[in-house]
Amino acid sequence: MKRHITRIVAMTAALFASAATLAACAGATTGTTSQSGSSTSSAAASSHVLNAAFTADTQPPDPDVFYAGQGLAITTSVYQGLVQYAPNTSLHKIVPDLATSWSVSPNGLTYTFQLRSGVLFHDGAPFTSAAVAASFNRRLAVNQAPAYMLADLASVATPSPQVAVVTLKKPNSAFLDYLASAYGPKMESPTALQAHAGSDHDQTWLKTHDAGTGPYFIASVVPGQKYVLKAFPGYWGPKPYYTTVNISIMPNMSTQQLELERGQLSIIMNDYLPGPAIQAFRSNPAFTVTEVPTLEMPMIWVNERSGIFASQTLRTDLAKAINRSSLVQSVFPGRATVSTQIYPNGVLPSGTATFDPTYNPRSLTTAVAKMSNKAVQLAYQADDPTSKLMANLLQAQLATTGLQVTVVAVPQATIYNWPGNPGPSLPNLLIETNWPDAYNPDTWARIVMTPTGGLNYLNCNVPAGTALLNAGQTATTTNQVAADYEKAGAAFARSGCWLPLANKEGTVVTPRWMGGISYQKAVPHTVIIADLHPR
Amino acid sequence: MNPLTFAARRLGAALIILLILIATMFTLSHLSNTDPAHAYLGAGASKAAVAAERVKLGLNLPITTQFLHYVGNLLHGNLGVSYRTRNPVTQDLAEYLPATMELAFYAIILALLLGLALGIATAARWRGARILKFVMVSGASAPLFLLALLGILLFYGHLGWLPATGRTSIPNPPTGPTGFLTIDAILAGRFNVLLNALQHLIMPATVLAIGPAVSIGRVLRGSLVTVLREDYVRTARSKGLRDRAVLLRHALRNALGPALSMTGLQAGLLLAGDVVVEQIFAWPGIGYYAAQSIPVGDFPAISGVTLVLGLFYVLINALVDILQRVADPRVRA
Repeated sequence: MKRHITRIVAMTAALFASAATLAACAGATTGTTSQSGSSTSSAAASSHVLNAAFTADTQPPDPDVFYAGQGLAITTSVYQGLVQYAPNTSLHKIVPDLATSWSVSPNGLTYTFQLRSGVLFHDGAPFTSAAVAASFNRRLAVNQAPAYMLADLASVATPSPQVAVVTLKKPNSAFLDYLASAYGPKMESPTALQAHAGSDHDQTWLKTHDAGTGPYFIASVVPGQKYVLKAFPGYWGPKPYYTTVNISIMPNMSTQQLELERGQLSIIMNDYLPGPAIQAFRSNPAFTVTEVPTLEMPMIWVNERSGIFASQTLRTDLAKAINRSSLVQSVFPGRATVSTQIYPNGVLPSGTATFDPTYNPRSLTTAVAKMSNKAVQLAYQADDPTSKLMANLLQAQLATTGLQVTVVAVPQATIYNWPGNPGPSLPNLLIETNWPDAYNPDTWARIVMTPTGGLNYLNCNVPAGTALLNAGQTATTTNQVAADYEKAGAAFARSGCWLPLANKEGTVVTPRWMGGISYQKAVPHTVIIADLHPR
Repeated sequence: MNPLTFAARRLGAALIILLILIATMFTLSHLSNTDPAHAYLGAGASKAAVAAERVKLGLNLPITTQFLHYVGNLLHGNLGVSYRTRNPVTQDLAEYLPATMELAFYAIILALLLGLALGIATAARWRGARILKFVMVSGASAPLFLLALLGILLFYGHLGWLPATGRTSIPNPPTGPTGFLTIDAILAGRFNVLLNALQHLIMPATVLAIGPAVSIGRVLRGSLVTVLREDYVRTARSKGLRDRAVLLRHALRNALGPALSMTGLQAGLLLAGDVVVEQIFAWPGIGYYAAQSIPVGDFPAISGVTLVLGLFYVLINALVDILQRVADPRVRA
């Protein structure tokens, strides 16, 4: 029997030996990049292939459908709009893109764009004013979430191939920001749209192809696995260094970290690396960690509809009882600053629409001591470890005031069901990070703080703020617009329904040899891939 | 019992189980108070846009109507359209399922081989048995994600022997006809893809196989220990049969029943663990597909995956029942 058992063990060992042999063979192919660090670095540095990764598959990269985060790396590389935000600055400045100049009528209803000549779509068709009309019309026909940006559109006239005249039904001071937004209307080839319209306005075709003018075109899509972008030879602007961009889907950030360390990835720009991993890269001389400004804002939503925070006084006390500086330092060391305004950083000049309570938990502690029910439910988005960390720290801070805080994880799809459905089941507090669609107060406050907003999770209603926001949207002079938005922001801040915590930056990790990291502020994930190159 | 009657009963039971599964899923999805229309459109979508989309997706209808529509469509092979990918779920499953099946296939084979080896080796009195028992208990206790991450750290990060993610790193691999990359590579004569695909399979398949292998091994060991004490085994030995013949011809066959049952159970559990493994190894299968769909409340996708996994679970258990009848004539009585 013993001899037989030995034989079985030997056979099992042989099985593993075979696997090990295969693994060793694998080492010959997969390990080449890691065996010698310097040769790997030089090979990767001279390669014209950029390898990046998303943590999850993205919405279809169709500019009239896409309304998410990481996929912006694709849509902003493939499509271009009439105008854009000036890159590499935190200033709110709109500059030309496919329009070289523009003018706005005094009544704020008519926008006349002079279009860039010599621009080709990826299907070879020339860019003319016909594309402006076709692209705007498609966005309205598709009627997905970003369509709201053209809700006030009356018509698009095309008096000449290089001139487009856009007329609105009513003035909208945010309109140019909509056009500059990463989610704004992008120019799509009318010939491509016509050829692949199908029964869904090209939506099926644009899941795996594109109709843009950008420096890259979508070469292939393997659903759930990989997007491949190739440099467009007919691009009108400077040619990108990287001729191929592979974007793989790698849900696990530890795996991404290892892949970057071993040279399989050229960059991590999805901003989901945990703090310790970022710290490890910072202390590793082979890598560079770059913080790029974004409009992301971690914030606390406060429920005025039920529970102990129905009182505005108590909401104000709550704002003062949160040590935001300590929270931000603990969660985002070196990657965020404490918010001082109700709007994301730079949307309005500093010192306006302020929200900057001085830390003093005494008044809340006194109020809580008199309460019979001290229970508070604090929710966070279940799949967001950063929000979880913030929630846990906040729980500890509020416990010192006597509040009995319970932290609950809630799936994002459940949180999405809260706007418009106030009820006792909603938590007292929610902590989450979001960002506006554009560099404009309206694109933040309307979505987060008005009764019709999709991110007004806990259904707070500040009529004065909403009215001022509406006034700012239809105002036609710069001063009036700024004044209305400032007053609206002050009203929202006074309500205590939204407690901004931080102005968060985006973290990009690259090998030391990588250069050309430029960005367009306004939303996260907007590193400009076409600008990347070896130093 | 007549074999045909047996098979018919099993099939009927399987259909009832699947129907209950769908109804449970449907009820749970509606009790969870999610808003897939909002997730479908994106975070910043206005309430008006979300309300319009709810109508388009039929989410404004009463739950019973939605359920009947779903079952009706199901009978026509229509699992609906994924809110996340915006593709028909059947199309998505056809895309993702082969990767999972290939991974599960190799993991089950590995689990069976390891389980048999562990079971037989630990049933006997020899010096290494105690060590193996320790390994079995440790293996059964280790969570999958830990094994996966340790595997990646060691074999990819430290040793550089194995790739960490995906099914292959070779561009433009064959995409058909079976969907099993290893088989398609052979059919296409691309042996570099075969080798590369096997390299990519080693780590996830081993991680998936360790737990089931240990469970199978433990059950087989217990069963073997009991069987080896039986009179007929003593008789066989007294007749002069060699240990190997006694073990393989007599004891093993009679001890296999519980191990086969455990294999069926473990195959189902393996598919559950598959979700974790696919996430960590970026393995583009239905576990990964489900994990991406759950946070956004993509009910058609989640139910499609659950239905497929439920179907496999039921089929595997039916298969195990049949194999048990073949392996052990006492079950037929």
